[in-house]
Amino acid sequence: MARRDDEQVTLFVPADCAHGFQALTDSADVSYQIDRVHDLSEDASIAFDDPELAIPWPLAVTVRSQRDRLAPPLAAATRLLA
Amino acid sequence: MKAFLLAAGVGSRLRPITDTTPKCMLAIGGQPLLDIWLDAFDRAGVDEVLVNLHHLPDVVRNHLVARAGSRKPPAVRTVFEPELLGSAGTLAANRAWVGGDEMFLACYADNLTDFDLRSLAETHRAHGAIATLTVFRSDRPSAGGVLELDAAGTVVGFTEKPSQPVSDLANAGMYAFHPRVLDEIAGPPPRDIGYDLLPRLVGRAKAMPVEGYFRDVGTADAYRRAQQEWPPTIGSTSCTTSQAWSTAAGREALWTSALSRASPVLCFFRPVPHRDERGFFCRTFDADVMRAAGLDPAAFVQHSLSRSARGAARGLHVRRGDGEA
Repeated sequence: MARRDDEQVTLFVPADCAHGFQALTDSADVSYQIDRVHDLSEDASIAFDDPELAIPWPLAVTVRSQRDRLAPPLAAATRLLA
Repeated sequence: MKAFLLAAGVGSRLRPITDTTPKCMLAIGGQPLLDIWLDAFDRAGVDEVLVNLHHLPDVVRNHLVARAGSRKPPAVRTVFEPELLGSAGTLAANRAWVGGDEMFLACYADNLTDFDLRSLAETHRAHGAIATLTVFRSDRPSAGGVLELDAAGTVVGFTEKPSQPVSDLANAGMYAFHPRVLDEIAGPPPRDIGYDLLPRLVGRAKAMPVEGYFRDVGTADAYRRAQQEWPPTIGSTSCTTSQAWSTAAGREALWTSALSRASPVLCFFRPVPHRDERGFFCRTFDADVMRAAGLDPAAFVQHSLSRSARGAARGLHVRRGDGEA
């Protein structure tokens, strides 16, 4: 879902639900809370362009982190997470 | 006949009014909602009403003491809930008061209606089903429970706050129940009529349409409108509910397991910004709203902010092990 810049939405993301977003404005702020202290060793990524997911990103994806560039597709990530 | 008036809600969507006034004491046309309901129960032949209280109970008790002085029926009993039991939990906890096998009514105090509850009681007696629900057509049915009915008025589907409503028939929150429904309320409180009880009555419950005026006054905007509209002129049509906060917003497609709150699901919250010439103010976190959605607001241990350039993507991210992503 795309949000206007003056619209406020809060999402509750349950455990085991992967999430991602794209900034549609320059710049876009996301404020978030987590219910367990962040631990780098627990981070897992899934490829944003996995054809199995076929996510219709609104803009060309111009910037990504190294971690996200190297993320495996869902099927491989699922095996790693199991 | 007995009736429950479910009045324990904190009214977080109506702050700051509800900081000092419990929802059922909101004034509409010069009288509190509570009195509008008690009069409606009286007209329907209800002689005993149980009102459950949680937030600012003394405001309600004091009003009822004053009302009792006028000897106006029906008789009212209040039950204080230090911990909210949920709407179904309240019914179950007062099984002894319900007693034998006579039908009883249950209504949410934060609705405003001129619907004739006698027709609900009569319809329920006529068909003999375990429960009779009331429905109205809503352009935002997902704000509450959404029903599917067959041609005979039997409830063949019920989902509380679905992300994709299957009909525009919304639960109006006025029920006639056979005491047998209390056997269907299992598990520890809080138990909710919409989430925990009505889905179990699918195939056995009947529904009837709400005639006349109907509005959920649970938000400041809806309350303001209700004050302008009440008392309704004869023949006014059904109004739709308006909620400033919604845990499963409208028709936007996201998965939710609305029939079970055993595990948390993806939820939407929509804080409403208050705008003026300075900009806007917006409460982005509200513990009461989270609790109302079945979530634990105390669970969060870190709060972070990210800023991204146009076109940048983050994700998809997920977390190994137990707990939040």
